Amino acid sequence: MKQLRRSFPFFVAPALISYILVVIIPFMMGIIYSFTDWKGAYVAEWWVGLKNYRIALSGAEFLYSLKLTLLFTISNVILVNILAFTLALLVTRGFKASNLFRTTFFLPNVIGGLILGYIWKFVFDVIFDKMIYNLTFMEFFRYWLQDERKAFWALVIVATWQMAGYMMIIYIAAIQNIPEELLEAADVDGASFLSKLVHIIIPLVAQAFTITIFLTLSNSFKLLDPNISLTNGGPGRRTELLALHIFKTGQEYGRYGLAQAQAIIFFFMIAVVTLAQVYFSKGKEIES
Amino acid sequence: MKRIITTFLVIALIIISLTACEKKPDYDVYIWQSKGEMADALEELVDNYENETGKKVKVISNRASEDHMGPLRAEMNKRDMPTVYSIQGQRELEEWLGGGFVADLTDWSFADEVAFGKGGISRDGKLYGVPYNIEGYGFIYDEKMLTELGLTELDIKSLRDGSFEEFEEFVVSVDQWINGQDVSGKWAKINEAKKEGELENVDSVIGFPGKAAWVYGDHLVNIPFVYEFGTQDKALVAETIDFTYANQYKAILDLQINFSKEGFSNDLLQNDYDEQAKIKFGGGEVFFIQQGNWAYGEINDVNPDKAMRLSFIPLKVPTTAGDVTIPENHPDSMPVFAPNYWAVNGKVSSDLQEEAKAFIEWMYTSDIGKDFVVNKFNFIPAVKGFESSDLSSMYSLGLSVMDYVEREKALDGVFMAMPGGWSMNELGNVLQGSYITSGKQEDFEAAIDHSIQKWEELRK
Repeated sequence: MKQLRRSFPFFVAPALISYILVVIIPFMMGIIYSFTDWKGAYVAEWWVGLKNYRIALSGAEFLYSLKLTLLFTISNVILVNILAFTLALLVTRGFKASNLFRTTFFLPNVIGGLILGYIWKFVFDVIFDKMIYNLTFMEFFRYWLQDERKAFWALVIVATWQMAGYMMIIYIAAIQNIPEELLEAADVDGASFLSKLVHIIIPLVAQAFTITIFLTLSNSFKLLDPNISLTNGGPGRRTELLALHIFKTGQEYGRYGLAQAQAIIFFFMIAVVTLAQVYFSKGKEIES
Repeated sequence: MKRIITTFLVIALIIISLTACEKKPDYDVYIWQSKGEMADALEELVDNYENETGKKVKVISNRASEDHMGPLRAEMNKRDMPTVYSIQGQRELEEWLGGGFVADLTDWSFADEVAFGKGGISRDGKLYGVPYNIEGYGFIYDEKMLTELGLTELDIKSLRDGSFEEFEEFVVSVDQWINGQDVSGKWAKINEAKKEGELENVDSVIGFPGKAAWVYGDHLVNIPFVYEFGTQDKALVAETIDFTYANQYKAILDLQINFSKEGFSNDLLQNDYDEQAKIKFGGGEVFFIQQGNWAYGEINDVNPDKAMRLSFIPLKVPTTAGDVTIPENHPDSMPVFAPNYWAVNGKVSSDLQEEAKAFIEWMYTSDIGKDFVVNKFNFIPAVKGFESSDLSSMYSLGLSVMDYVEREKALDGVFMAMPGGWSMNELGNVLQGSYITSGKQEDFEAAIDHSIQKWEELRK
């Protein structure tokens, strides 16, 4: 035991070093930079007070991206969890091919977000628009990425497709933890599937809900990769989610100080929302 | 507690030992340049330089077509920063000046050799960069297509030097011919032309890339602002704009869209630069596309014979539109600008700066360098000292641009001095999201108002 204590720092060090160098230090630097006029390559003015924060909170594009991200997050959280839960239920029925399905549903999560965006871009631009439309002439298949509203839903589809598999795994674990006796007892009492679902499965899976909603909430808020590759904010800037907007403020406009301030505000929003969600969900969990 | 302290001490030790290593740079020149198309050729040239002079040159090119400033700023944060890099216009110069990253080149003997502009890019009388090359854009046309239509050389010249209205009249006539209608008036002779040979695939007059917002955002918007500002310097300091000639801008924009195959519709957004240059123009579907000399590469890929017959007709605007008049209109001139300048890093040692300057000078004055500049980089050189023998293999569009410069029919590229991202995001993309597909006057006006407001915000 004493040996373990001596070597403790060396085991922890690599991970801790990486975390400090890549997350903590840049975060601290970011806070400092948000109070300056940082140009990326150099600092033009070392103290501009709260100017960056003021511009960030009043900027029309920032507020538009914020509103869009909120809408996106709500849609995504609902769709991902409904889909993931349904898939988890299906996959735990005990069918022969369950394992194969589990793997297939999880696969999209393994593919990086950027590549996912490009794949779906191909689907929307070429398969939907050029191939299917030319066969069926249904308006529904046109301009998924050029029409403002359709592009929004295209992004939701891609993000849902990416996250559902991961959430499904969590739900599967939770469902499999439900003691068999409870379900058998319910069957003996003649309960229908629906009442089993509502009265037994869902309450006992509540703990998983806390986790999955937390994950989908924060992932949707922070979404960047598929945004860049699918639409890059287009058409115009109508599908520019918050993370992309912050990225562009720095990269394209060169206003890195402002981008930092936006990022800090972004951080606080996500922290508040997710912590609140976890707090309220924990209250609803039942000990099995 | 002891465990935690020990852990942090170990970590601190490791981090410090990693960052404390000092090393002298192992190169004489470090180029970080932004023109992706010349990346391979430049590496070849650098090998030649190393063989000839024994110096070590490190070269990195930005091969992505995305904005180069992001990665370049990251490079400048390193201890071993680039000694030679690219600057694309006054706005970037201002950013680098603020941090001291540009060396003063005013007293450099080579700078006197620059033939275009005033020697390069300068501020307050001091020179900070020498041009890579010059570029120009306008309406690209294939001479054979026009002669098969029935035009003589004089006709083409009159279109080149004539007014917007005269060009519009021609475009309308061609459109009628394409639709099988009878053409009357000045261009009645094109009625004789048949849809064969080079005209076989024609389906519309102009090819317009709705997806490439930079074409109508960055480039086309240069025209109205050349008349509002005149030079890049004025554009750089302007805190607000009037967009006085918005109607003129709309005239040339509408002309292109109205006489394109797609017109104002969602279909227009499907066309990107490749579609416009390779398929529409390279495939002989249209007579004109608004593009620059760089498009030669794309067209040559598709149809080398056609690529040899290309030339420019300038983009024109009506002198009077709405009730706004341009005091001095130049419908016979095209914007010519240096898109990239070689700058020397002012923050590196003076030895490294001298090495950097030596390389740049060698590139444009030595025989091998000149050969690469014209034939491998496909540049239109901006420095003197290029004899006609050096330029014998210059391509069609390059010769056309040089022709305009020689005849002194070149306009300034003021769009390079506009606020970062403005022309692309606040005008091009806004138009793309509304006006390009709808054609409604309100959408156009809303976009213009938005861009005016954004200019002021960005300049604060």
